[in-house]
Amino acid sequence: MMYLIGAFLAVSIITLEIILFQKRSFYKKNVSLIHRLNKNLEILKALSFLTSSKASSLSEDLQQLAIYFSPQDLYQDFTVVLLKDTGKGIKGVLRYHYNQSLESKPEIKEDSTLTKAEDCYLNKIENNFSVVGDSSSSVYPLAALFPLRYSSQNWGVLMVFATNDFSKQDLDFLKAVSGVVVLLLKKFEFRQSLTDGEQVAGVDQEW
Amino acid sequence: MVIFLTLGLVWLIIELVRVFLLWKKNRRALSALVKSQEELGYLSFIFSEVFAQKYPVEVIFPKLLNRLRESLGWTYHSIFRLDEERQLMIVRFTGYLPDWYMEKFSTKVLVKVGDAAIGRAVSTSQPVIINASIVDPRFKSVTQVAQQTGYKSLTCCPMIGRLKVYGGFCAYSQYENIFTLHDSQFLLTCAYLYGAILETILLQEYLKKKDK
Repeated sequence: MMYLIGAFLAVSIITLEIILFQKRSFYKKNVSLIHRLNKNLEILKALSFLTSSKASSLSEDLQQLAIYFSPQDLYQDFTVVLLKDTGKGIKGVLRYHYNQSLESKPEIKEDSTLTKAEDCYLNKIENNFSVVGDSSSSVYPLAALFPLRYSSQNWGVLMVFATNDFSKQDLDFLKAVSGVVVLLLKKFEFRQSLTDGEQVAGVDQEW
Repeated sequence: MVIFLTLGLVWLIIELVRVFLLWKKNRRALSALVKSQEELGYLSFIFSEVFAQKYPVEVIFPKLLNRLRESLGWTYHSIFRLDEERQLMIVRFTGYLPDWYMEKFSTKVLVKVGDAAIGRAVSTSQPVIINASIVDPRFKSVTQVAQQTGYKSLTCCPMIGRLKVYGGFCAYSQYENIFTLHDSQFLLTCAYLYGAILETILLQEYLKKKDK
């Protein structure tokens, strides 16, 4: 009888240990996911303040935007590519890369990675976003692409490179970031098209 | 044998307690996870829906307020317009609040900037959280309205764009002590984005008129 009880207890304890082990690994996974999501949210909160920033140039705002995407941190790389319709096709005109100034690489055509990604973007322009693998690059195997557009106006694409798969939450997060970039682009479009006085008159309209 | 069994039982009880504590931690973590996912989803929705097509202000804001309730569950919402000349707050859009609320606070009773929760949020450019509106001695006017409409807590945030303050945004709940600091920061983010969206629409309309 005693041996039976002893065996029962031993089996119970082992079973519990297994459950506990599973729970622990599940919990650890949850903690890292929560950390990631919370970090994404914090970045978005910080970015939303950019929309009201009074920076004098687009590059100043993009620099600020890129600071949140440290290479050691969430994503391998952060790139904004602006495309324009030349009438004979769409051509890359502007590129902002983390740690590189806007002026240093004005053309994207020479960069094979970006050209490939640009093709993918053009092929899937109807989608809200596309995720593609770039086998030619061992450093950046994955890129997420987000069209930068407002209404029917297309500016280009936001590209983010990563070594691991993008999760649904990553895509939600980056989609929201692309919206912030659109607002920044729109802001500078208004600055170019309207004088300060006209802008004040514009926002004074009753809504 | 008895000693081994006793030790085994004690170990078993300790393990059970640890599993229980872990389970409780996990539940808390999971609810936080779900909330973060919903918040991210909502911000993503703002951009994908709002920018995919160009809607007028009258369509965008009710859409955003409805989705906010669906995603994050706060019971009622309202957006106030700031009348700069008269320094008054006028209700412009509501989400799930009774019709009389809109009628009363857009025509008959206009909140002064600095008064009540929304006026305070706009004058200080900071969010205002009232987690027990029925008994909060700071805001008697809010207490009266809360009793009529049935909400028990609220958070109000200023809607600020690059060029100016456009008004304020409030979220209400029928439960007490529901709004955390994290919630108020998230709502402030939403209010900033609403301000930026509104500014973009107004300037876009002005640009169109100018081009004509």
